[in-house]
Amino acid sequence: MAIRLDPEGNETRELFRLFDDFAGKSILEIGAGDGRLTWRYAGRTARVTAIEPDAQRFSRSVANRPGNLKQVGFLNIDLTTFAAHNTEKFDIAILSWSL
Amino acid sequence: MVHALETIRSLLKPGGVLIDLRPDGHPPEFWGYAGEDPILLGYLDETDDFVEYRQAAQAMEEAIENRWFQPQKRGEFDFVIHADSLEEMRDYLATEWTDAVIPDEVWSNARSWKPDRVALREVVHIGILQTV
Repeated sequence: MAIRLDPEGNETRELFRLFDDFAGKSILEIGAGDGRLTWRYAGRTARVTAIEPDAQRFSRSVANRPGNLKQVGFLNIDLTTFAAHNTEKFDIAILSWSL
Repeated sequence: MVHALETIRSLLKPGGVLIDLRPDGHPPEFWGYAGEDPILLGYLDETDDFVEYRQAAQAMEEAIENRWFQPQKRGEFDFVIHADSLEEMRDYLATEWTDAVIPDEVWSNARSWKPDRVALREVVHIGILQTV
């Protein structure tokens, strides 16, 4: 068997226990990594913009994208650069182990 | 880090929500499984992340003091990485967690107890905050 990350699903169980108002919302995920968390909540949202500055993790996130989650856009960019060019306001920001 | 929180606030709509997931800054635990009861093998050594997570917590406190965000809810959970052996865990950490070191004590305990599989357990905090 390979490495298993949180097979118990503790991360999303606690997240959804505390907050589950994702329907119809626009999300900015900062430090999305390889998309592990993104794929677990994205199906509940209207749209996700996920940014990740590390090129290797970004590549894995794109490669791992489930086919049914077309509402997720991944960008290989850091927060400062993203903010300098972005004009959109988001309903929710997720800091994913990244501050 | 405080500047990053100010930037995030500027990207949110009025009344927008910030969800902050972050390890609590304590050393993650290695557990070995050999039979029914897990055995604590020791703790992960990190050079950078502990300091950064504590700085992050301070930055969040400052952002709250500045009234950029107001805490709504808090929680925590165990994030566990499972591997079939300590060697497999070492190889994973070498690529994904580059400042992490498995101390000699953990290797020694693993040799003594010969676990069938190992796990790395980290406590992670979740904060739900709203823009003010």
